[in-house]
Order: sequence, then C-alpha cells, then structure tokens
Amino acid sequence: MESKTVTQAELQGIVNNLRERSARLITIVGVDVGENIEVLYFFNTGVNLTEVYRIIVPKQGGNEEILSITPLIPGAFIAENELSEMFGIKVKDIPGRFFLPPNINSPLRRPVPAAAKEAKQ
Amino acid sequence: MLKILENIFKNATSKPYTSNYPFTPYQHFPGTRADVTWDGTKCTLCGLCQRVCPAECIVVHKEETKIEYMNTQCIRCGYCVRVCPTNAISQNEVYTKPSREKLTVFTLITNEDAPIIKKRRAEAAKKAAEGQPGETKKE
Amino acid sequence: MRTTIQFGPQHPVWIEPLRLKLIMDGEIVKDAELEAGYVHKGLEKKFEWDYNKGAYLSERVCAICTQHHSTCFCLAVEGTMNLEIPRRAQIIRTIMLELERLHSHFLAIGLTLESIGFENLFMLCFRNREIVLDVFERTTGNRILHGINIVGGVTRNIGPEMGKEILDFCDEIEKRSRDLEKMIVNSYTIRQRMQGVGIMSEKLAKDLCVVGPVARGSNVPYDVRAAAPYLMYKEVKVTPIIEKDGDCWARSIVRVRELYQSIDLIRQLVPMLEGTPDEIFAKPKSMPEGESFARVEPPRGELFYYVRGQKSIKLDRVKIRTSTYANGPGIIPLIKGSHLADVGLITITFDPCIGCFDR
Repeated sequence: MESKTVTQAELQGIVNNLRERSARLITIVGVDVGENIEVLYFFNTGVNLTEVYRIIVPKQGGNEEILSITPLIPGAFIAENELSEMFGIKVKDIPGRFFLPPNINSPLRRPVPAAAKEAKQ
Repeated sequence: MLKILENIFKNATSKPYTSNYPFTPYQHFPGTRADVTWDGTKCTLCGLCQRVCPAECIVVHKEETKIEYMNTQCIRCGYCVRVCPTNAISQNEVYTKPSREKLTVFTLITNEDAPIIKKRRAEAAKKAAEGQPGETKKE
Repeated sequence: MRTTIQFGPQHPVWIEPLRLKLIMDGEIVKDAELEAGYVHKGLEKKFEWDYNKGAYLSERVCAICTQHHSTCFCLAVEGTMNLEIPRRAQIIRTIMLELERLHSHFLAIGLTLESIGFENLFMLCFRNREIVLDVFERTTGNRILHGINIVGGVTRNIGPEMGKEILDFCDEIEKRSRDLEKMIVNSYTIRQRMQGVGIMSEKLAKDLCVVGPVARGSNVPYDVRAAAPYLMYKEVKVTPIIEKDGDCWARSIVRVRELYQSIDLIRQLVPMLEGTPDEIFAKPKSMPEGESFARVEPPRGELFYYVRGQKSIKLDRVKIRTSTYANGPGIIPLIKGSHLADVGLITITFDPCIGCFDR
C-alpha cells in the first residue's frame, strides 16, 4: 500500500483539488504508533485507483488540535467525530462525543514508551 | 375477479405449508455442526485444542488425565476439530436443548500411547521392581 | 407551539435500538437529532489478538452480512502477507457471497412492506428466504454464522452433486421472485404510499458520500464490484443498476432488480468449478507485517477494513467502516419537513443495521 506524507496546510489544497476532480472520500483512520499519532485519509479517484494521504501529529499529553475538512466535504463529519472521541485529538468545530458514556475517555490511546520519554529528556 | 377466484381455489385445495412443530421435530440436514465430543482412546493430551479455542471453553488437566469442556460457552466453530493431530475430536448433529443451568462435560482419557500415561506406568513399574529386592533385603 | 416526541430506543418498526429526538409543529417534523451507542461493544480493541481467531470474531459483527465481513478481513490480512489463495477457494467464496445477497434482499423487502402495514407479503418474502437458508445448511453446516472462511482459503468443498442441487435451487427461486415482483410492481396502493416520499437529490448523495442502494436509487452509479473488482469479479462482469427518482419507491425497486442479477451470476459461476484442481487451502509462510486495506460490496453498501501487523501473531490495529456508518448522517436531512407517519418508512428503506453502526 503506497501513501504520501503531507503537512496539514498542504492537505487543504489537495482536498480542494480532489473535490473538483469528483473523487469521493472513503474514510479517515487514526493509528497510535508510540510517539506520534498518524491520521490517514483514503480517497477513491477512478476505476481501480485509490490515493492515501498521511499526516503525523506528535503527542503532547492530550491537547493536540488539527484542522477539519468538513467545510469542503460534508461527509467527513462522522469520521472526524469518531477520531476525536477515540484518540483524544481535538478537531476544529466538531463536538467530540457520540458513542461513549461520559466517564470513559480516549480508550484507544496507548502510553508513550519509556525509551522515547528518556530520549526526549 | 377471475384471478382472485383462481387463487382461492389453489389455496383451498393444497396442503398447508407449515409443519406441526412441537409434535414433529425439526429435521436437520446431514453435515450440520453441533456439539463437540472427545474420543478417549485417541487423545494424547497435547493441549493444542486449549490454545486454539476462540471462546476459551476447553481446559486440559494433565495430572488427572481429564478434559473439561464447557458446553454453554462453546460457539460451535469447529477450529479444534481441524487442528487435532490424532483426529480425536468430532462434531455430532444433535443440539443441546436450551435450559437455565450451565453444562460442563468431563472426558476421561484412557489412551495407552499418551506420553503422560506411558511415563507414569514406567515409573510405577520401576518402583515395583525396586520395592521387591528392598523388601527381601529388609527381611 | 412545539412539542418534542421521542422516537425512542425501542420501537416496533426497527429491530435494533436507535434514538431520534423529533421537534414537531402539528404533524410536520421541524428538527431532528440522532443518538446512538446503545450496542457499542468496543470490538476494535478486541481485534488486537491472534489473527486466526480474528476471522471468527469478524463474522459476529453483523448477523445478516457475515460472509462479507469475514471475507473482507481475510483479504486484508492476506494482503499484508502477500499470500495467493487457490482458484477453487476463490470460486467458492464468490458463490457464498452472491447467495448472501439473495437472503438479505428478501429480508429488506419484507421489512419495508411490513412497515407500511402489508403483513401478508412480509410472510411470503420470509417463506422464500427459508429456501436460501436451507442451501446454506447443506453446504456449510450452519444457517447464519457459517464459519468456513479462514486466512488462506476455505474449509469445506462443493462437489458435483452439490453443484447440481444449487442449479435446481436457482430455477425454483427465480419462479418465486417473478411472482413476488408482479405483486409489488402492479399494485396501486403500494405505489401511492411510497412514491414521492423522502426524496434524496443527486447533489446531496454526492456530498454526503453515501453508498449502496441508497446511492444507486439517486442516480449515482457506484458499485465496488465494478469500481475495484476483487475475487472472481474480474472475470464475471457486473454493471450497476440505477434509478433516477431518489424516493423510497426507487430504492426498493433497485433491491428487487438486484435479485435477478445475483441469480444470473450464480448460474455463471457454478459451471466454473469443473476442471479446477482440488486444493482449497494455502498455508501462510510468514507473519503479517506492514499495512493493507480491502473493500467488498455487501447487500447494504461498501465495507472497508484496514489492518496493520507488527511481525508477530498478534495484530496491531484493525479499523472497520461499515455501510450504515456512511449512510447514517443522511437520515436527518430527509426527515425534516415530512409527516410523522413517514419517519419509520424512510428509515427502513435505508436498511439500517445498528450492530454494524455501533460495533
């Protein structure tokens, strides 16, 4: 599976471009890799063609914030809602609670491994 | 109007489609997968079925040579049947009736070639052989 | 004066719990709010265990599209291991997928007719569905949760006598489907009740990225079997069936016409079994490593699995995106402005499966 790593500012331009080419969004996936959290965007652009874009969000103890693509593609609302609920990342202008009761917070987030913590210090 | 009369006639003269359920039991087709049973003369107590079960309903007791199978927790998937190296596990075609109590089944293993039973018989035979010269010595 | 009515978690129209809060002005709905999470089990966290046992867990996410869930999981894990499965296993998997489309569409048509009050046709649809479940019991051993898909192939074979029985079954069920279609399409009352209710325009369908018969009933030709073919669909071509109106009648007619397409596909696939070598399982040679994704087309829409391995027998991350999850936000714009008696009907024509929605 090939994917391209981009920054958050570049992603807005790419999504605008894809919307004019009438591509469609499949979904948004969050993965916890120890020190960072990676967010993957999947798009379907033609027969047998898919494009995958990845942004990297370094962990800062619970208050990260990323830009949203819901003003451009309204169908991304529910995927970003689940991303912010399960991992604790805040997405701009999206309320973050749909499935879980109020006393459980970000269940899919893992603690930072000890070797990375010492290297940072 | 004519179509309705034809339908009424067809429905009134054919036999009912449903069967008389509690009095005629349901016929399963051959090859249905229902409860799991062990054959006591083929098992070697290796423990593979315990490692592989997704519902964690098999416990192998090696000292007492028994296998504990929790019937109400089993999901009838058939993974243990596929994996057993001596084909000691099989699935029959009779389902357990629903009830309120949990059901657990114990099977005693009597296979002579199982490594643990062989080891114990060898030790018991060695002890009996040592015991006899010892007794004559005591006297 | 506005009243608030709760279309509560338990309602006779739906099978599973879902909550809608409706704000009414007389008989017309002005605003609506959706709340779910009553059957949320946290399955994505449990998937981080042995990948062989994961095939049995993925079947139990939804009881009506089980084969598609386990096939999609096996395709994604085989993609991380670069494993090729034998041809006979591919043909058997495709036959099972098409049989599942038949039994799910009979259930969906029956439930739509029950929600407008026509209970007699609902019983006839379920009578036809029993024949399909009998075929499942003869080939796999169980009626609903089959358990024949594992990473590397399938566990049960279809011989020449079973193939002939499947072709006889195809003739019988085509005769019954023709009877059913005549009763629905030539009926004046059903048409008057369902036409013009709950219209989804083409622009709204493209913005919200909906999938399945909901999209195909609004003139958006999206079908994963044609857009990204998998298994045997590279050799047996499928064209999407579309309707232009976008109301409840169009979505139900799409499902009725897809029944005939499935019967036709099964008749093309069963003769392909003769002459292929008799292997149905390929042993995996390495551990899952890296990331991969797979897409299939269940009867309700598009299903997507993402799997990431970490070079051991336990998986690292599995993400499931089901079809009701993509169609769910489309209910709210359609309900605003309709009568209270139409809310149940509009929701049922979407074919919701809340077990898939919550996981």
